[in-house]
Amino acid sequence: MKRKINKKRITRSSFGAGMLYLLPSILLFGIFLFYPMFKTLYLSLFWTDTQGNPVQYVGLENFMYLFESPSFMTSIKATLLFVLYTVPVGIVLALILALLANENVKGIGFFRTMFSSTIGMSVAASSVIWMLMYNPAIGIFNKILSAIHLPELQWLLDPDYALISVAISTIWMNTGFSFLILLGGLQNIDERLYENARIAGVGTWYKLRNITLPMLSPTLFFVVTVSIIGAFQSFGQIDILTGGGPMESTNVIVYAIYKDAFINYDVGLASAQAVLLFFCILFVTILQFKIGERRVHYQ
Amino acid sequence: MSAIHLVNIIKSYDGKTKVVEDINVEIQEGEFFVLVGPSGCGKSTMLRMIAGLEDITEGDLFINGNKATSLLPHERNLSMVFQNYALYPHMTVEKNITFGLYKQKLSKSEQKKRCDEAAEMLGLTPYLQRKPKALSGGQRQRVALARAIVTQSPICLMDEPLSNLDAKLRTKMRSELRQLQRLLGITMVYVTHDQTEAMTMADRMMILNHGQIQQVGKPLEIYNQPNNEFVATFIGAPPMNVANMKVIDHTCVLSDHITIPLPHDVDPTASYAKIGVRAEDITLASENDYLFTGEIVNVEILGTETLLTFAIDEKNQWLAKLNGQWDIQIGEKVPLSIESHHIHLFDEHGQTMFQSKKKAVSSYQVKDALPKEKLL
Amino acid sequence: MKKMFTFMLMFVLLITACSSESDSDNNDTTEDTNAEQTSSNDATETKEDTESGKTEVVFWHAMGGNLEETLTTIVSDYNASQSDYEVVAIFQGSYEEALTKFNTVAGTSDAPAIMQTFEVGTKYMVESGNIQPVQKFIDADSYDINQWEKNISNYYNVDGTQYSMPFNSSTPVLIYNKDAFTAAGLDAENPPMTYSALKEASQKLTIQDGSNTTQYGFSVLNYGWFFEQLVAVQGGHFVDNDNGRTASAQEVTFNQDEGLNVFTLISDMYNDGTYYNSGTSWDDIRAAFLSGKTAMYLDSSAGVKAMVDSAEFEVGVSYLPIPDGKEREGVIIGGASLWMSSGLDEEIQQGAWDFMKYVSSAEVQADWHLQTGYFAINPAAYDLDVVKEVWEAYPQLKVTVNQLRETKSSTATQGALISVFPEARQKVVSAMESLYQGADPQQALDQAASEINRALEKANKLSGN
Repeated sequence: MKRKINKKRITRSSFGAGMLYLLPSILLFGIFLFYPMFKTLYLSLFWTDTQGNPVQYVGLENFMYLFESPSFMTSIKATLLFVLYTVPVGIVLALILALLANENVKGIGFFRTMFSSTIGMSVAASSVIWMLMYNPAIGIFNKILSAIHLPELQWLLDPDYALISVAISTIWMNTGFSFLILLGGLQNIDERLYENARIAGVGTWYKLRNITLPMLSPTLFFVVTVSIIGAFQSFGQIDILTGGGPMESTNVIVYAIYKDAFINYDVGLASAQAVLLFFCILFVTILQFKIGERRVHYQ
Repeated sequence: MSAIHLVNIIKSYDGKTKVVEDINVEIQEGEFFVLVGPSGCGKSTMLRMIAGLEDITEGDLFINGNKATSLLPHERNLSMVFQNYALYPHMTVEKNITFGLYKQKLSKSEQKKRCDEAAEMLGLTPYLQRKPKALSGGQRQRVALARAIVTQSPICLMDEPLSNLDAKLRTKMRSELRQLQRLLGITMVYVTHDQTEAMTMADRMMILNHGQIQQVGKPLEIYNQPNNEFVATFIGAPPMNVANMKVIDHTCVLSDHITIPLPHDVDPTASYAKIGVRAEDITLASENDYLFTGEIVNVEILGTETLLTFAIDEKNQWLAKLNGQWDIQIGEKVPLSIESHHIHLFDEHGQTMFQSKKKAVSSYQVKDALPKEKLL
Repeated sequence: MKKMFTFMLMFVLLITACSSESDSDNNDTTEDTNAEQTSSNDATETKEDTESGKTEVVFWHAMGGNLEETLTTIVSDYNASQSDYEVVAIFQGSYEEALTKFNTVAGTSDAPAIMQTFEVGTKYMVESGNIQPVQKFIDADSYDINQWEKNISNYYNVDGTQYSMPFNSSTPVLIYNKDAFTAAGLDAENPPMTYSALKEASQKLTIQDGSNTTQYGFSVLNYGWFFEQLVAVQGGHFVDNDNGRTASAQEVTFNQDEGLNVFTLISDMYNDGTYYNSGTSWDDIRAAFLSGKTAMYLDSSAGVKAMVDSAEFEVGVSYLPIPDGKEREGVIIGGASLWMSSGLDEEIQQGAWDFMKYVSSAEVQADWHLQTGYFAINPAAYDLDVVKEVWEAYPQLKVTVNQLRETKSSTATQGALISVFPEARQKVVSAMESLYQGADPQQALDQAASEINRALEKANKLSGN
């Protein structure tokens, strides 16, 4: 009997100690993650005044409003297209560069630095550079087009090209990161696996398909997941390059949230969009893990 | 015809320092040839040059009489087993085994047949559909072997294939490997840093140090007649006892109280700097062959033999290996003897000037020698 | 366990130590009253007297770059001129950003005494309930607001109450390249005043080089403000209920004749290839003008001086063009005004009012006008010699002032009063952009109108109107 009590006391005190250890992270997560998350969820069910205070409980009214809004539909379309434009091309490009940079030739360090250099540029700085290059009057792209006698383009002003233009600059910005991670993954692959393949005499393609890609799959999976989430959350380059225009063609959800919350002062509506975006990303990520799990080979 | 012939092979990465220097060796067909040496001696580099994984800086390589110096790895018709097995974690055991057949353009059924044979031989049949992750270290090792076997290449190269296994399994695999090699009749070039492995497995072995050949020969030849001090101390466990000495009046003087007479057929005028004695050649002295007294500092009883450590001077200790079990206390002073024909003498560069005349005893000689041994 | 307890104790001590340290930090900054303070913590100090015994008046503004420099000079001159108040100017980013920050502290003791807000935030500020109309001090002081430029102060006058003090005000003007006019055989001193003249001039100014146009005739920034101006100059209303000034606006009216005139003009000229779509960036359209891509464009009067200075050609400035046969009503002022927070100590409000009076003096306004190109809200400034001298050198500045002065005071030129202005502007921009995709002007307008009406309806429901 006495022993039992003792045991209980130990359990209780060790639970306390455990909680104590967890306290800092629980506090941090609580304040900076959980509280804002639940607050967003809460606000999405209200109409808010211009100060962002909930005024009237409206249930799912905000969501209904969104689903009826052509503007929101454009946002969804823009977001999905943006992910579609940036992620596959960005990763394939980064992979090609990583494969090239993985070769051990003289001066490869220079190329590795070059290929990964975009990681060191802030989104704001690179966006400004791209904006200058896209400028229809003085930008380099139109200068090139006119030099080779092609009609000039309104890169960021034509709804047909704006999203692609932003996507191109985004690919450029993200390539450094993906490249670096993929290169790290490539260098982690045991050289012996390739040597064995050399002795077996298999071709480059076969090696790429049957050794490199499967061995790289955990890294690729990570990069794909991070890139997709990153693409969903792109903001800086859109804010600087197009401001969501023209004709809302680049008004991705994150940007729409920003505009509704901080320009239109409709926090309830912004929260509702944030909630939808959250579930959207959650869904995509779960889907990815479900599909990806089967194709990823962890060592 | 030799299976592999290396002629004046030199390897250098930076054009200045030579990793492997002027290697000349012929490896016979069906031979189990071991490259042994301490780490960094260039043995793996040599193996990889034979495989074609490293370029040969200078010299020529012949495989089955054909010049192979600049052939691509897969054109050399050989297989290779790596230290960490280099299995593909995302492929099943079966896929791993048949990976090497990709270029041979074999039919599916032929591939399957060969794979099954190899798996059967190595006891892998129940595991063919598993991933390497689900196998034990020994099983993975066997998969790597099977992958080499299925190619039916006449030459197999192995780079420290057993070093990732635990001691017990390693001993077992040694003999398995040897048997397999004999069964298949393949030429094996085997790299290891473990002299026991080399001694127990090799038909012939090559000892390398600092990229240079120290000695090539059969294991016992090398054990009994080492070319130099390095080989003498590298091969054999425990290593050969070596000490600095001076020759004074036809006697090797190691210290104040330890002197060993030179064998009478030794030229006493040559310059000798060091003496070497195998531990098993130091015996307990009887009345008439007493040489010196050793103060015992450590005793290791292994069951079949007893190892005695004794000091020869303030800094150096020697080991004596006695057959059987001896109850000797630490601190005890023990009379010891060395037969002068069992000593090795080295000059100041470590080159052998005189070597033991020991030879392996053939079975009929054993009978013959029995009473003699008993007397001692 | 005991160890753990000791650890926790130390942890708590550490936290207390840190917080007391930051308390003393705050006290330090109280003594240090330079304008570099940006943290909102500093606003807490508004209640306290500074070391020198001056009452601190915190002033949040959105003037970046060289505008901030000019403003800082004005503030330090003010601080040196008297011994009762110490104005602390803090830059809070763009108008939108500053307003967002204001939002979070409005109504609390952390709110700044003076807040600069752009014109479209007027209704928003009025409705926020956290501001003190300056009318109170005008009345108490018997301050003569007739010395303010009527057309400017009108914008911030709602239902007869002056809510804020106009500060930096600008209007749109037509800026044109005189050299290009001459080259095209046009009269550089006689810029187009009507749509037909504008179209005709643009035809002549447009230069083709193969498939690419190297010089366009005309361009308008895709920015709601210009559309509002082009509607107002014809006497059109942006929203109903007299631009929301007689009652809360229920629906937009810009999709009627006046708005259609503007959209049709842009659409026609774009289809003719004489109109250049320069996007939504002020920098871009100015770059397009400076590089000769477009020969005429609309800009803010505050940009005139910089343009004249940086262009390599002669720059002309003219009034906004109007449709043929329409009467010129005038322009709406743009820019921002200074608001006073409610719920602050009387002493601080008094200080804020004192600073506002100082800022609106003729001398300060003259300086402000000349340094920045914004209008002097006190017209007496224009009679000062310094202004006259600069006007000699930059006659273009005078045109902007004249256009404002010729403006008829009406609900059209007072500008619209709606709380969903930022959103409305975005929709108008989208509608303008759709014109370049070949949208029908009326449909584009109706599309924007219905979306804004939806936002208006929601806003009205929310505020109970």
